[in-house]
Amino acid sequence: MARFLVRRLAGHAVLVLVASSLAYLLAAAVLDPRGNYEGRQPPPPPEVVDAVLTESNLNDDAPLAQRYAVWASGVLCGDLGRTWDGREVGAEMARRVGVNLRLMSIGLVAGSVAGVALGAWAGLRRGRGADRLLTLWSYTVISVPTVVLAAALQACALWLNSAAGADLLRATGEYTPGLDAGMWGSAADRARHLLLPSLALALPQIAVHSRYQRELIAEAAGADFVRTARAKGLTLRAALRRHALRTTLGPSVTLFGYSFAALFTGTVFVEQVFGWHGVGGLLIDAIAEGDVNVVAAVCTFGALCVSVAGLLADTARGLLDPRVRT
Amino acid sequence: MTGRVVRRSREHRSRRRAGRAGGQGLRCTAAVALLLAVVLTACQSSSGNAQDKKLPAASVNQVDPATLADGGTLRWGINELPAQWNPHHANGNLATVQTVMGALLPSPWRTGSDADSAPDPDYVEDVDVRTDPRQVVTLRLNPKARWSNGDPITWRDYAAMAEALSGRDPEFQVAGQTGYDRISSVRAGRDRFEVVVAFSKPFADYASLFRLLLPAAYTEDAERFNSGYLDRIPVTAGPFGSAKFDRTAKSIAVARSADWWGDRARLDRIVFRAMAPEALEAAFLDGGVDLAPLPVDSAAAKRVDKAADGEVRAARAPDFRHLTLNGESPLLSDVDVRHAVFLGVNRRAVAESAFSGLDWRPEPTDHHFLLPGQDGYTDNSGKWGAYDPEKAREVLEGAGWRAAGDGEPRRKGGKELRLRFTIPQGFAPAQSEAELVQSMLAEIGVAVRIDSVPRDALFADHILPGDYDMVALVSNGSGFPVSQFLQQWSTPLKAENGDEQWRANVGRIGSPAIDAAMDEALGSLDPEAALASINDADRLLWDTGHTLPLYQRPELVATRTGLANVGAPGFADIDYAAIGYPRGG
Repeated sequence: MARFLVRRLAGHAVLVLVASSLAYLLAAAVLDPRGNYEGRQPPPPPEVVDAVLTESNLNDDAPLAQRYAVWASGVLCGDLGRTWDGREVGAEMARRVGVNLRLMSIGLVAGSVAGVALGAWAGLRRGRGADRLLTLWSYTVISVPTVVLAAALQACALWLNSAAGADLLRATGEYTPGLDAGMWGSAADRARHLLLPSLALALPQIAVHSRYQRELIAEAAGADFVRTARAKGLTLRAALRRHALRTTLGPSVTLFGYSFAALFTGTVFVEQVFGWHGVGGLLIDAIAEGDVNVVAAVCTFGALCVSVAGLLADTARGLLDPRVRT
Repeated sequence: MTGRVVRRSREHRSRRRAGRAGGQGLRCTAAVALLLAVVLTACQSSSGNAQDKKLPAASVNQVDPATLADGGTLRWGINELPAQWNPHHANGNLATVQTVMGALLPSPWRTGSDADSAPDPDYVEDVDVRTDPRQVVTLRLNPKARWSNGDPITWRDYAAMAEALSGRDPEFQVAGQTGYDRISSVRAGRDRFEVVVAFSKPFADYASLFRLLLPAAYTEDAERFNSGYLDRIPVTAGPFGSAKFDRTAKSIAVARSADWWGDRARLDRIVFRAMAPEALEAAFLDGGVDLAPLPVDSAAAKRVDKAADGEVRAARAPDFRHLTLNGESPLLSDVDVRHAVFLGVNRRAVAESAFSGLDWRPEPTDHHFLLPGQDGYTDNSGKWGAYDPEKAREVLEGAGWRAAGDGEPRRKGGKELRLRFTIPQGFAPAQSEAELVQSMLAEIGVAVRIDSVPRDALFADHILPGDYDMVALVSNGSGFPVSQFLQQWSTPLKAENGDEQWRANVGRIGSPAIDAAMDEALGSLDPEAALASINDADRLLWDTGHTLPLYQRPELVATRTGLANVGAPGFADIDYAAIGYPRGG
């Protein structure tokens, strides 16, 4: 088992290294941080622009290989470099990752659990009205882009607030900055802000996971061990509930792990619509500002997330299934 | 906020917000939000007489501060939380930095909505200007004025800043040097509260200098200049102070200064809160911010106006849109072709199209320096300002461009008269503007191809290298028009290798006569004479076919109903101490 994990770990490390290097090289070759100073009225002196860019290792007068060497040696020592305007990229990343964790955790966990539960429930009632209704609802949600869903939820909340004549829900921001309302007041404030983005993230999760889980249960209904259980006198639903549900959870957990990792950089629409300052927004801004170090940092982080999720999935599989360890 | 200062144009800001990869998605967000809003408010009545009102120069709900409530918090929506808060640093030269630091740092002069400047008694008691034998400006400082660390504001702060911004020491990463490069010395007068500024060359726009003054400790040393205000605001001297950052919420809170010597600020606190432009409107509607800039979009304005506690303040923005022609492009290097384009574009129609859906009448502009309403504004367009396709055809015929039949571009010596109109990708107003110009110029036999390019490539790959024929841009006006436009209309610098560097003059047209007129204006301390020189320069710019001014743009700001002394200020500097809520509100 240990050898299997070490091999996997080495594989993932190489993957992250290659992915982040490619991301840096691509970003450095394509993006143009000089553009931040162009079109200003009047423009700053050219030698100042050069000096400022050089400070952040962004000056395209230096050869790409040299810039890459500076960046890579910094990253290996844990220094992700500076933004075009002089911030530490590492600190900014840490802050943004925190925002994403708070933004996503509740929505994704609740969405996945509810999705699996609903899917299992529907799987036991295949073909009935409730199952069909859920199918219809799932496909509708899946086919609506996240940005539409988020904007619709926001419009509903604004309508609700104005109908109620009070600010029940907050449609923008993670919390009210500068609010002085004690621990419970702050927690309530955060909750009011969190509800809408959590819904926007949870609804698609429910839709996807319920579809997935429903099919897994359906598949299990024809499996040998369920037939055996039925032969022993259990009804189909009892057999599925007692025996099939547990075995189908494994793939669902894997799916959850990967979608969590992918969404870390993929919640950008929810972030932008609801005015949270997360990793996705950081990437969008960085691309617009030609901020090479930030783009590279976000891509590295994305690769890291997927690798860690993959590693955890491998570990789980290794523990569950002795055949993969060899 | 006006001054010589160098605001990043709005176009540019929006350019930064929407990059190559993200732009599509974000615009999609906005479009969807718009669509939903349209659906949800489908039954709202349309307002009748559109475009019947003239936009005011400023709209700030001006109220005597003494009648306002004492206290309250203003949540002010901004588009970004910059890292560099030194407004004179190359990275800090941003509109947001000016907005925030205006509440925190001293400026010896204050600009009114008429674009005229007057000394601000909170910092300067008296200003004396002498011109003989050389220009000397003497400032009598308010001795009560102090930095937040307790030090008085003295001539040393002025002297150190003048030296830092002069550009003499390249270690200082300055945003610009205009004006400071003409200062020969800054010294104390009869005491440390008297600043004597001597100029080596006359500088009429002296009131643009020393705005957002920094303490000497941060301008004497290049290292502290470059990083002393990086991600922090250590020393202030304004009605508000003690800036606290919340980098997670991207906000910065400033509190009323206890040791402020001027009229007590009405608000307790201002919280500047950064959000993507798309989220700001929603934040205003749900009460997350009390003041937010709006896009020039009639739907957004109507939604805000409909909100129970919201209103839209609209004024003429201190900037104008113009059609820039590349004087070094193969076909437009001929001044006759440029003039034909001037005559062939119906500027009023372009302006009306840009204002469509808004309740205000567009304000076409005829000037390369001044905006309508500014002292000295006159129409210098001569033969080239009025829409006259017939005359445009004559000019082209006279230049040897022969009509080639219906729908075909004119020809001359085997060449066809085809121009490129370069626009940023995915910006719908620019697209419709270009299409309008395209159809107008087709009337006079000029074929226009619309080239849409990625937003971040527009300047870098097309405008600055001169690889374009026509482009529509926005320029900021100011109370110091010559300082503001000097680089934009002057002849190129010669580089060491002999190359011409046009830099900010993206139209690549210049003449010694224009340079001389601008120099004359910049050196003339008599306002009448200066304005005469400015108008000379403007007339020359029309004559040489440099850039067709189109219209002054509107500025829309959403505010809470009754919030006083803030909104769309036009040219004016905001008096942060006077901002407040009505009593009993």
